[in-house]
Amino acid sequence: MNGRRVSVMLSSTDAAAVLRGAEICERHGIDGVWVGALNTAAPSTATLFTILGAVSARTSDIRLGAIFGLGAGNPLHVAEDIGVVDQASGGRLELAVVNDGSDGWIERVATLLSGWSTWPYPVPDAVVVTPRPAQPFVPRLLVRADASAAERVHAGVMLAASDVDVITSPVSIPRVAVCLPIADCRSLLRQPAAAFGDAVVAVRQRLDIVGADEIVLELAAGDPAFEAVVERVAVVLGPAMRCVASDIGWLVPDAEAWRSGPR
Amino acid sequence: MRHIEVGLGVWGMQSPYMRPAPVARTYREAVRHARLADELGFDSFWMGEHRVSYCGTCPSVLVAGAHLLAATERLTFGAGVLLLPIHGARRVADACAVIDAVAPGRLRLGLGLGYRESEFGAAGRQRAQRLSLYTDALEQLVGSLRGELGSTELWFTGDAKPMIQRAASVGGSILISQNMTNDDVVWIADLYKSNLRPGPQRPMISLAREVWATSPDDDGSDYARRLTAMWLHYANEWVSGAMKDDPTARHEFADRRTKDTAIIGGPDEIVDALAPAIERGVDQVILKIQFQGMDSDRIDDQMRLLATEVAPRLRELS
Repeated sequence: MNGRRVSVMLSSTDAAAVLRGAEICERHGIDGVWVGALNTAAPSTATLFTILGAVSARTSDIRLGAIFGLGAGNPLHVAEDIGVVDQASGGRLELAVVNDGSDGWIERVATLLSGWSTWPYPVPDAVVVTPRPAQPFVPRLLVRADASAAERVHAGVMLAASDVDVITSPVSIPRVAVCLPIADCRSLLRQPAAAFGDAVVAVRQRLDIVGADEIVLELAAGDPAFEAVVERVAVVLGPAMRCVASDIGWLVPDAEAWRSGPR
Repeated sequence: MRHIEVGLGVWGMQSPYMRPAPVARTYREAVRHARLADELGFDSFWMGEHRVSYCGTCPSVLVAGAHLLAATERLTFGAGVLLLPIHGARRVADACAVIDAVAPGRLRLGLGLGYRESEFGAAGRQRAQRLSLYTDALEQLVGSLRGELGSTELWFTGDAKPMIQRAASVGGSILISQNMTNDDVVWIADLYKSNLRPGPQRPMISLAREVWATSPDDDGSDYARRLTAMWLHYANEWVSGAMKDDPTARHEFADRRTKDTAIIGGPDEIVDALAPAIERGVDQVILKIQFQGMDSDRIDDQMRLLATEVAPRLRELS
């Protein structure tokens, strides 16, 4: 048994759908929701943290993940938004910062993440960003980054499933999250019960190879079937990601039977 | 017959020396206050912003607004004010679009200039350029980005004539500060109405006043003391020259502010003090009961008292 977390990346450009999706995920006991995108079409940080401001009011326990690049936005506002969302959520915020490929990006990430103790615009006096987050250390991951960058800012990494396919041994980074893109999730979670066990085993093996601590499933938040899919993730897939590997054979069919039985 | 609105202000999630508190608690309290305000029938709930402040004042008023709107059902949230030159138009439009999606028609975006050097400096901007930054951003918000704001209402602060004319010319509403007297409302309303170009929102004139309703259990002295402490704090930002280094002068300034601007008294006194402004054209009164250092439970009691004894009578003045 391990403590692997199962999270959902809420994919939608409709903020109301993301909000409803987060509420559904919390209701079904999902560990965390992530908002944003791993690619360059990610929403702006203003969009992202405003959504998370709303989500934090409608949820109470679920972890709140923000996936973002620093882009052209003012880092002051990003640091401020992080502080506000973490305080408003009672310390539930987590970060995944996307490498935009520009020179010095990891230094900009380091500056941002130390903004609550030092800030590099001392006009007219030295200032720090306020409010500081509620958590003494906001959990952070880097996307498209190597181990040295992660070490520089005490971060883990978030890997795309395609990255995992070329890795053959555990990644030597304290925390690893693996993100399954929307197409893979669709094909996995629409499997009939008879074939689902084998599909789950295949996913589990990919996570075990890299020593993943978290699986992030990208799901379309506005999809009419969203709640049913989330329920399957929570009831069947989640336990199968955490159990002793050899138990999957009985756990998946039992959980599937429970899910489809009378309520 | 005009519809008179009664709002409450001005939350900031501070942890000041007058009432140190874990910052997360101030957000929880604001949610509780917003829900109570919603339940009691207040029309709007206003919040300010500042940044790089020792007391942790919320710098992201729209992120916090999304939080409070998602926690409530009906009332409108007023950003009063968002410092536009520091945020810039793109960031504001993005946040407004989100809020309009999750709480349609419930955001009043109050735009202000800002004045603290440290805030501009932390953002890597020059205070001296604040007017041009403001003007450029505003042009985008009422122009190319207007569609992204959805049903967000635009509100304008500042008691200067050009600001009032600017608000009216884009069909926005105005927030009159507590610095203005009931007599000032006459010229402000005239200037506003004569320049008004109708737009998609209801054009409104709003007046903010520090108000505390007394009761047999509360003579208002604690409110007055804390309000004076707040003005003393602001005196450090607002006054200049000799007064800045003169503790006695700063205390006199703070005492005078409280005496001159706050309405502390029974419900009858409050209604009588606000009635002339409503008769002269004010559509919304924002009762400023919250500021740095107010006790959270007292705010609950005050909201209930104002909701039953004051707000209904102000609405009848229409």
